Amino acid sequence: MSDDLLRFAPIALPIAGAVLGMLLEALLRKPKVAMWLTVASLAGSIVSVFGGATGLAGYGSELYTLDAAGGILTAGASAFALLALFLSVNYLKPQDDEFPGEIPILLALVPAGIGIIAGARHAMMIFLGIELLSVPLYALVALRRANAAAVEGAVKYFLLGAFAAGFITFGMSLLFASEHSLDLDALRAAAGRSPVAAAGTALFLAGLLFKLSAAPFHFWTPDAYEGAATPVTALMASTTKIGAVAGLLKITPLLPASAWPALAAIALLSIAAGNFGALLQDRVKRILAYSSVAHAGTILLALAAGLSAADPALAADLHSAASRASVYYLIAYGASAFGAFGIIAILERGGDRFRTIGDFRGLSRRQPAAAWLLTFFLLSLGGIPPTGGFWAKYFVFATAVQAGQLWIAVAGIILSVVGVAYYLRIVATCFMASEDAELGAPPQGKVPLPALLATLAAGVGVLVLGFAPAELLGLIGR
Amino acid sequence: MNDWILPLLVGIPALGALAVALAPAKRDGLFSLALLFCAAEAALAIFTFTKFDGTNPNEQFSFSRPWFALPTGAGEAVPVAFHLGIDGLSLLLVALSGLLAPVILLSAKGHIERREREFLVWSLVMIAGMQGVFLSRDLLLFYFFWEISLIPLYFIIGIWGGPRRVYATVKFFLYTLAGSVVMLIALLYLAYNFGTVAIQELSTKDIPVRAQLGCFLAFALAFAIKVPMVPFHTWLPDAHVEAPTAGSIVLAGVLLKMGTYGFLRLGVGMFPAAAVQCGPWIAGIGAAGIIYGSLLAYGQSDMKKLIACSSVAHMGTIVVGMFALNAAGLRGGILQMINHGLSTGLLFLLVGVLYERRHVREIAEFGGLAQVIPAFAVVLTVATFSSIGLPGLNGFPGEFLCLKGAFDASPLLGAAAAVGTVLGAVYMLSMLRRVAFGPITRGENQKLIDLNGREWASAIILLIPMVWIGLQPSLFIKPTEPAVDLLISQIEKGRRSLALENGASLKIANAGAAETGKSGGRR
Repeated sequence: MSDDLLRFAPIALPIAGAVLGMLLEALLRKPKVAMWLTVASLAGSIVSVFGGATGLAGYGSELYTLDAAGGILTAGASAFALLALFLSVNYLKPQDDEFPGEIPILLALVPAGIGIIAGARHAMMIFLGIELLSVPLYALVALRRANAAAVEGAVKYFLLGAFAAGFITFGMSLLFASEHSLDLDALRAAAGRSPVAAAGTALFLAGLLFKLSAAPFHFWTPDAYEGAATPVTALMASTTKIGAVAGLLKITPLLPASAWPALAAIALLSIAAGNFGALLQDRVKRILAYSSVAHAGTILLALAAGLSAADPALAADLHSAASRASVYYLIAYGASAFGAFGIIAILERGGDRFRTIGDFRGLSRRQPAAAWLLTFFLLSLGGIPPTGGFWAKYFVFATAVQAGQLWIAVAGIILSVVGVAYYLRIVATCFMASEDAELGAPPQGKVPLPALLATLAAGVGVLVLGFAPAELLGLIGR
Repeated sequence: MNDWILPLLVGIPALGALAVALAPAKRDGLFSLALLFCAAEAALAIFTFTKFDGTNPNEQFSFSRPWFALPTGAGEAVPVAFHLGIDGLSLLLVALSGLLAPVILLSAKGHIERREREFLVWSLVMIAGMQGVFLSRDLLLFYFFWEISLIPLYFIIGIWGGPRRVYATVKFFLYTLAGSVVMLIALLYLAYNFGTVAIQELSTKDIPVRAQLGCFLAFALAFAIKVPMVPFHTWLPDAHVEAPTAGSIVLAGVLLKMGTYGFLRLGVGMFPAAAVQCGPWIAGIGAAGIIYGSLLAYGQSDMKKLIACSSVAHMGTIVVGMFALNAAGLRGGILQMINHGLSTGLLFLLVGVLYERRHVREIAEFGGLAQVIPAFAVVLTVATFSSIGLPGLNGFPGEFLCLKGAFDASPLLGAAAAVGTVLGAVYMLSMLRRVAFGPITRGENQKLIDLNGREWASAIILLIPMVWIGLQPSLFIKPTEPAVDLLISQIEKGRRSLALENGASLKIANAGAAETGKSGGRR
């Protein structure tokens, strides 16, 4: 019995925290209570993952069993949500923040949704998880109701998200019609068995690719990222991809090995669309939004490689290599992107500063620490050692090479170099402005300590991943 | 005790960077602190040189710790080690990097007038990264340091450089990065197909000729961009012209050698058959680079650009020597790497000295400097002579060996390289004449101040080995010989497997012909 409780703790704790928080918020109107409840429940979720909640079988295990990789994803998502909570403290201006208790409550549900996907053994669980992850995010993006960009971003995100949910449910119904089951083990390789199942799988995949913001499903990303309050953007960047990839790791086994070129093509298209799109942007949040499209593509490269072996023994090996690489990538990318948005949030401090790249001109002279940290995170996003981002790219391309996709790997890595160009553009603006150039807006007010700590924590994460890649890799296991 | 030398060679500048970043001191204090670390680095590098056993062809002072394991499909994992070692191929380069460390700082003190702390940190990181590249005996570690060493120079050029610095530095960064990522794919291919990323172990594996060729080309792209070989050289003049003096010294002194060293250690060492196969082509491109670079240099009116273009030519000489793939050429190539570092480093230093005083670099702005600043003119003359390979100075033995190797390999190659050498003398001497001799054409030059103590110190650090190598080249060539002999045996192995491969394909062709004959007969 106690095992059963422990099994569900990683998802049950944040949900319970959120429900209790809503209740207490309604009764007490004390946002601090909801906040600390969320902190405690997310911390509890992380502790339960490392305290043995993974790999347990028992009641309900035909629906939900968390494996080691899923555990890391759940714990990672909880950690990012926790950091985003700290980042959001004192961020919103009072007029934007009519219901300060909402943020922690909504935040807690995001990792719960990811946890459900990560442990799903049934297609319906993935759908439930996706919705539990997305609905709070729609609300969080629209949090600043007076801000037109926020509302626009949220509406776009919501409408396209509704389409994606429609795709997923329609795909599930086709799968059920063809296979008479939605159990993921029973569905294994289903797409090869009948055209109906193939269509269902394709629709399901399209829904997940939308959530991943892979090209050509990425058009909502720049608007939603830019419209959202920056702590929310940090949360989206670091966690939505975890949810989507957790789902993709469950759904790709439905595909036959011969489907890998399609995934690889979407991957390369995403890297190209994201990187070239970002080159054309002038607003930093949009640049990072496009870069997230490219990163989605890089993760897909690993998944495509994981799919590519027809021989069952090799396929199992490749799939586990792909899941290892993508989990590592998600954590490293999440920490780097969180850090970059964290720096922007700290610089903005709720105002309308630091929007365009020009606002960062000469940042190193005004706020050297912020400039250095931002550079560090951007280098990690670019995949330059000694950062976690380097090893993340390394493991992904290693998987592609292991699968024998040499030319795909070469194409992907060369397209990735394009990405470095715009990261360097930001770095150059911060550091290399001439002495007499007009500087961007000066920051105002004090740096909020929780936000600073959250960003520094992400930085420590990226650094540790950069120098000791083996540790996380070991945790993910085989 | 000895196994801590190499980690210290990387660690001292790295720790120095940390110390400078955190030290509460102001400008002069920071410089002194950084200089202290650089002096320790130089001393340790010289100590390594003297302790090195010149009769042992294998790596020495090894330091190896397991780092992590890269899982593979086959179930076993590819171990990745933090493995440092030094042998005859890297010995001189490690010593040179160490020696240049204080020179970089001394030269910087005159012209880095803002954001000193950042500059010192990046310089120290740069030195640590370069030493890491030369000392790595594990392919992944090599790649790790190779990429890291890009970042410091990106900032050094981008922050303290000339008016077009951002363009130059981004071009430098992206160009070299694009080259090296393809190397990463080849590295992964090796890891998965041969189960190791240890350089030594890979050198002993029998890698099929076709795979060797693919990997060699992937590595060669990275190295050719770094060297840089024509037609990948366009980033270099931009980077040099915009870089501050200290950046140019690092770039010409050591950074470019990462390319030629990579060719030797990885290109020839791990893929000898492919190196034998591609050798003539690469040597040919190198020879073309000598002539093209020389002609470019001759056409320049900016001193710094002239020396930058001459670097393209000199690096061509090194490539020609190395890819002659014989003992003389390889020895010459290794020695010439050091010589080019010393002489071009000194030349950039001297251009920097003039630039600090006059803020121009046009050759036409100077003339008759020997009358005003004689000491400067003497040092410039020595540097020029060293650069063109005058006997008695370091350039001579290196260039001679390279040319001998080239002639042994192919008289045509040798002739092309020799023509380039003559051209080198033409443009260098003409620059020397126009800058240092003749009448004083500009009034501003009347009041120039001669070399000061700091500039003398950095010049002397470079002048001593220049003269020493010139007078006693064997002292510096001897320790490299066993390693070169090992490389030669590797090349022989490559020739054999290439011959075997050709023989086999001949056999297959014959068998195929017989088969067709048989079936034809049956029909």
